[in-house]
Amino acid sequence: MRDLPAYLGHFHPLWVHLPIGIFILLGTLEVAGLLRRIRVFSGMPALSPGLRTLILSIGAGVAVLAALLGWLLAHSGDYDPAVVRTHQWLGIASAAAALLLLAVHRVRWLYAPCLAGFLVLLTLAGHAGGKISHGNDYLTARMPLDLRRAFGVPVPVVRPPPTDTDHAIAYRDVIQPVLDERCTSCHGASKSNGGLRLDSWDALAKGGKDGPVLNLANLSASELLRRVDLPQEEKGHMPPLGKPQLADDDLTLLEWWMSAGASPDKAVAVLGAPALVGEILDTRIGGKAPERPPYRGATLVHSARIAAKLGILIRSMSPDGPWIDVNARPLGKEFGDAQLAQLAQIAPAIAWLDLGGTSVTDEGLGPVEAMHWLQRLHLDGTKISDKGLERLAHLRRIEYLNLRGTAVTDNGLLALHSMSRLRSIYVWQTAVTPEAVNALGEAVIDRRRIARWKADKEDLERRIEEEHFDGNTGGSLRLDAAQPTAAVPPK
Amino acid sequence: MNLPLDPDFVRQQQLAWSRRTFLGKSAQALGALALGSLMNPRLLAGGAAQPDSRWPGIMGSPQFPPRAKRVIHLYMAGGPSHLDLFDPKPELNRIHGQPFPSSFTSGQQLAQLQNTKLLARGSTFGFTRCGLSGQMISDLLPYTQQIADDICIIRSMHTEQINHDPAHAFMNAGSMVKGRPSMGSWLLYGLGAETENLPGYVVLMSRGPSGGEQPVSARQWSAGFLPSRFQGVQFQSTGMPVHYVGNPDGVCQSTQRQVIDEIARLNGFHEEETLDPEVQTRLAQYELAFKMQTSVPDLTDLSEEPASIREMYGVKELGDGSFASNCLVARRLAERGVRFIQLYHRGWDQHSNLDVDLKEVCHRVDQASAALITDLKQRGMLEDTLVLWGGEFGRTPMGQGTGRDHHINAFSLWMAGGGIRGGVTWGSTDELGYRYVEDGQDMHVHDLHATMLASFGIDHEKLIYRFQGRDFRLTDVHGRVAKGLFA
Repeated sequence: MRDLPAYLGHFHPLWVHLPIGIFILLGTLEVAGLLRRIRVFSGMPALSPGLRTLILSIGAGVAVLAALLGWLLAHSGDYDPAVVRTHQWLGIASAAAALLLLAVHRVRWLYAPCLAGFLVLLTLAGHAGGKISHGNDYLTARMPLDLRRAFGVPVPVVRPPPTDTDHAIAYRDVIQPVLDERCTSCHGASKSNGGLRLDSWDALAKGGKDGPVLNLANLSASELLRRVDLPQEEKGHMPPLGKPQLADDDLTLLEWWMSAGASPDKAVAVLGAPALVGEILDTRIGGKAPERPPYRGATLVHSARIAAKLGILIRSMSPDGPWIDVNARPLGKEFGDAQLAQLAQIAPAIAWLDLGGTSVTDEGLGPVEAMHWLQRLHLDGTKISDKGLERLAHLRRIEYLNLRGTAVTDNGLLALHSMSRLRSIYVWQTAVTPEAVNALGEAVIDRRRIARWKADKEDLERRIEEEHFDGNTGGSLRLDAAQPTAAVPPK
Repeated sequence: MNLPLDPDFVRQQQLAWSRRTFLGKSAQALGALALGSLMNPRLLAGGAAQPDSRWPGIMGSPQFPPRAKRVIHLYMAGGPSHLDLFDPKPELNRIHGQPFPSSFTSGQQLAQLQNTKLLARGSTFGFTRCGLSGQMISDLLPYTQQIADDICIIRSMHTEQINHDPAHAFMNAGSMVKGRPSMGSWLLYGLGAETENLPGYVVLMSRGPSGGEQPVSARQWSAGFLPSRFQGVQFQSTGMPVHYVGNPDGVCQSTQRQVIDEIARLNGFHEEETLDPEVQTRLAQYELAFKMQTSVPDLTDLSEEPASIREMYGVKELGDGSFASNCLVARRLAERGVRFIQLYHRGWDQHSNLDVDLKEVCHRVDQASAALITDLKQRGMLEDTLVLWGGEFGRTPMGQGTGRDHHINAFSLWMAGGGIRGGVTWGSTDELGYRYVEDGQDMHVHDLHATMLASFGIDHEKLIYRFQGRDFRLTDVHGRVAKGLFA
């Protein structure tokens, strides 16, 4: 029963809305009663004295109960006493004021100002409570700039959103937001468990009361990384079990930033991001938000027209998505840059594109640049060279790339290092060397992530092993009287 | 067979479907209409006079993620012995020469061994663990051993027909009943072909060593009750694949074109009168033949194949009718957009003299089979080409003199490409290789068909043709997709 106070206390946020509603309704009815004196509002109902007493009695009762529940919540240990102090005393004052109001409500001249004052007090108490749940600036956080200026609300310091990934400051634009999202609710201004705050670079560098979390001499041995990498059920894992966890991408970013030197002010381009990190950065920074998929209906209409006009094959690839498979190979050399240009309208919907054996050139690759959802691309037997590959480097969804029999070289493959999903490449009959292909493989496969998956797998396997149950209803060692009492059982 | 069908059965269905959907939701309907016209350009064009020879397929959007775009079926006709090629059985070797346990065979249908004394026959050939995957492959197939990591060996195949012709029919059409479409025809009907210049379904034939050869009837690549434009076209393995494809003296291509256009116009009148879909087939055939006048010489011009490639396949002389030459042609057909390519190699029917004859027939197909996989792979084509290697049934673990009899309860084949995981051994047989084990990886011919269609993104239950008042499917009322085969 030790938990009973805390259990009841958790009903406070629910219950507290009841007295607020009741008293606001009462206030509204009283105003309506006053308005009766004006002719146009003469039809308004008047509150009878008996009804007023009843409402006030119920209101005062639930207000006292709300204050009581609030007291239990404040002392349940879930909240920092310093943070709830204002709300606590305002709330208790409100409950007391409700009782006072009930006591004086028959004195006409005292009642109206008391009610007005009480409603103000109630509003303040409620707002103080809201601030605890939703944060200090909850009401004004999304306030438009013009309104802020008009009402004198301080204009927040808006950092200019980075326009592109390369110029973004890694710490400021991606790392701190991750910490803000997952860590600072317990390691921040209002609550700093273990004396650790993670809401600014200075605090991060300083560490907590048990020591630094960043080991600047040996970053990969930093406490911060160790804690987030611990298996979830291990003591000391952060964020604690049950709290929202860091996503796989968060960990990848954090590891990359630490391994790149945990700099507070260096830009992404300076730190250098491998393919997978680059992809995550692109989606986070918003400079290149994931391109919206096109509409199925429009795509199919355009596809039908284009297929008929050019004589190429276009197939829908799924029963409900817009994705299409475009095959120009049967046209051979008759299909060139001019024909490719006509695909511009359906470019965003193309998932598979076969330009093998056609006469397309580097210069004509413009429409392909816009095929952000491209997964398979055949360019074998075309005049494509390294220059063309550079134009395609940003197509990060490509999984299959056929460059057989083209003029591409090792240099061209360097441009593909950013294609983090590339899993097969065909470069037979080109000048590309096996070394360059291996280097590409190393660039697009994130070994660290695989290592983490392996660790997770081992952890899961261990947990599966541990999940066993021994039922024991008692045993016996009694030897049957008929059996010989041999020390070694007969084989 | 050519029963009068509803004139433009499919076209009408598309129209009806588009109209219904259009009334439902205009935006969706617009997409559906567009899809309809993707499938049939004439839908929006309002029936142009010039017949369009391209059949776009009836399937529209795929039901599953599509992986394969074409099939190369290396058809080992006669029934290769799984026990000597892909399914080693130490226990069978151990009881070699002893009476075969009657618990396996009692009450079972046998072909030529019916009512004879059954003796176990072990394999005289060695097996080797190959590649990183460690798949067991017979030493009779040293080249295939080298592609072990690219192929998926299915050991749990079983069929229902114990004699060659009906078993071929069962493997091709999922039924021994005559008049059913073969799987190549179903695929063409469902998806059309990528090329207009060659038939969408091509068959090539090669021979084994003398003896052990059973004839393969042309009904194996028949379109059955489907319109006959979907039937397989057999190319000659020696010389020019198609006879009389050149123009007679004094006739140039433009004259030829005029002749064909005029014939098409006249046939068009006939079609309007009789509403016979076979007229459409006829029109398409004229058009195709015209295009093949240039595409076929190009196809067989193997001079552009470097010597290293010819060597890899083991082609001694181009167009010599060998399996190796056919494999090279198959790859060229695949490159040109042919949907279904079937290479029959006869000579796997070792009722006797197995130890010598099997070695010989393996020698004839092994190198080229492995070369085809290697070549497709280096061209990046293996990812969307499904290769099937196998026969119509297996052979008994019981000896028949110096050979083995037909066997339907277990046989092996391999698949590669088209999204199939390489280096995997799928399914198993009992310790004597007599019967497949029901472990969820057992593979009936219907299951093979369902899986093959699934690699094209087709739900085998949705590819339907109504004939004589009944809906027909390649898998009839059976078939289970082996999802675990896909990567």
